Amino acid sequence: MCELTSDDLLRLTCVALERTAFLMAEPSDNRHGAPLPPASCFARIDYRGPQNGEVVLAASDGFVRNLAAGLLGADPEAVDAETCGIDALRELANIVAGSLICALGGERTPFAVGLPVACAKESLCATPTVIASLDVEGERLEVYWTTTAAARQAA
Amino acid sequence: MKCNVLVVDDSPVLRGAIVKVARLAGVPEERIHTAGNGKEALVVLESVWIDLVLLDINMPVMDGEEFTREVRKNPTWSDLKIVIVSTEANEDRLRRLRELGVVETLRKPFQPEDLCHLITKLLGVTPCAS
Repeated sequence: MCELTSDDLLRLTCVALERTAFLMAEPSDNRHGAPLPPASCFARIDYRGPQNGEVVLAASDGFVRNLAAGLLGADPEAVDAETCGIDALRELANIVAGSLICALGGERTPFAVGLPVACAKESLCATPTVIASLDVEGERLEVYWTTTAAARQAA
Repeated sequence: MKCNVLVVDDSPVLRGAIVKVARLAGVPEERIHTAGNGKEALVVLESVWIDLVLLDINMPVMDGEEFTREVRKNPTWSDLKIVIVSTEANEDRLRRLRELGVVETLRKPFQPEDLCHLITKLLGVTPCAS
């Protein structure tokens, strides 16, 4: 089974953002100046197969607005973060998880993803397998990938 | 060409995004219909003649595979063109869908122009000027 690094997770998330919403992202480590806004929106999706796991996205309010606006071709000011924004984040979790399982299992992936759900900050695993932290045009997006075996060991 | 398109996805935002692409592909807004799952999509099919379905797979209530199976049971819809627009990559599932007559698969994240090209190719419509 292929293993993924933080760079792999970052790369596939960047592709998802560019193709889906025309958003450009880079590692948040590269950022200088004011810190990124805190994460206030969370979405989770799990997958099952030879290895089970989950992906949780943690994003700032501005990011989810920009994401929904990019998807819809709308003005971010006109986007409601609590409805459209959260839905867009759920869909991004779906897309990132889909890309992740392809990276893990190849084109004939034996994995299957579940349905993405909005969740609370408490859903974040204390010891995720891999984290990718992104600066998306001045807004925060963090991607937490946890394999279920790792989550169980941490519990 | 007067074609009707049905967009089936449980994400309202992604439905909106795909509707936008369908409009850019030349489908008039009044001929684009939407549904949030396979069950809702079957209700649309029973009331409107649809030429092309853009279908997600992983949805609550009724997923895309079950929807496709139900469609193919009905001789009225035997020629309905179905395109999968999904993160689904499991080869066994995709093979089952092809055997049910799905004409194309477009994996998310997709480039909007790829979806636009698919729609124009399958419906023979003319894309709108951008």
